[in-house]
Amino acid sequence: MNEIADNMTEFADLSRDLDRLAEADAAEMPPALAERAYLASVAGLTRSEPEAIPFVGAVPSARWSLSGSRIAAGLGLMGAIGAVLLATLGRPSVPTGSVSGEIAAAPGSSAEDALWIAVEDAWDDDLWSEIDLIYAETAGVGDDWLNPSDDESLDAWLDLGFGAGGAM
Amino acid sequence: MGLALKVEPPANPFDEHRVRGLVDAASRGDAEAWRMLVEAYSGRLFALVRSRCGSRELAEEITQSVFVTLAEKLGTGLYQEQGRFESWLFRIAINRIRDEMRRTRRHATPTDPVSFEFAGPTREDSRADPDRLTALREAVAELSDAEQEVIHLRHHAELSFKQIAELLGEPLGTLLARHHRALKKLQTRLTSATPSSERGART
Repeated sequence: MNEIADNMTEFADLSRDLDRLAEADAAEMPPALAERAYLASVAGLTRSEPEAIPFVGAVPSARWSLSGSRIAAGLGLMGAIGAVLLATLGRPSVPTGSVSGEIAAAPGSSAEDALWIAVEDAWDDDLWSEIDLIYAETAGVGDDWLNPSDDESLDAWLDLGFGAGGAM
Repeated sequence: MGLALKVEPPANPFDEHRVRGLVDAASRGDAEAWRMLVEAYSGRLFALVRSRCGSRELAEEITQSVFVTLAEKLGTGLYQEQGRFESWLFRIAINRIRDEMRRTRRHATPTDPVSFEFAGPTREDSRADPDRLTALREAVAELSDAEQEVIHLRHHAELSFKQIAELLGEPLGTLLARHHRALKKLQTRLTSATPSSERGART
């Protein structure tokens, strides 16, 4: 024990400086990261009991969560004749901001049609390639994970009905 | 002079009982409990990954992916380590970091830690001497990988030695000795790199 106590005294300054180094590293965390991490992960947390997302007449409605190398976003898609995509995107390599777009889904379009059109509208190929994992739940269709770089996952996704008539 | 080398885990805003309650609630799909856990641990997690990888962007990516993994396991009932949430969380992070390091080495990307950013803190910290921190960061980067790991788990992840031992699956005494050896090396390197006039001013 004495040796430990001696060491404590001997390394007191150093230990403090290591704590400060840790504080400096922690201070580099972008303020939005915790929120992005939350949004990216909450779908996985609630996956076993997905929240019901109602259809209101012909209004496409779906919820997505994306998790990727440089992007995470929780997306809400809603609209009447036109569906509005509201996506909060955060990428370390570019200034964090928001992207919004309006898509003209035909009346009676399915939720997945609208989603894929919205995805195509909002994201370019570079960004798409950075998305690792998508979780989606859509009322009347189901829920599943998609890894865009995994063919098997992609096939399963398409079998489920996502992507039909859309951007894929 | 006080004893600055902590043997007990640093103060945690969430005690073990509360963490357990939040983890249980999150496992049942309570998104608010999950949000609190993410907010409570994201800073320490980011700091650990940032220190191990040297890249802020990569640290963001890994931090995020760790929470995704964690949520998947919680949401599907795969969390079995009651009472050891922090060890579990940081073990996932360490595994993810090791994977990333292996991947980076496979791609022959320079991993010389000295070449990483040494910009120092981006937020002004009046208590810290930026030059000292830069020198310290460089000195840490010269330690062996195992020594760096225990330093970072101790100071960045703020884990107790007991938790580090659980996480790494190594005896407590081994880790204490390694930590001590690492501090000694750091002390030696910093002392030899610091002009004698400055050394006098610090004591």
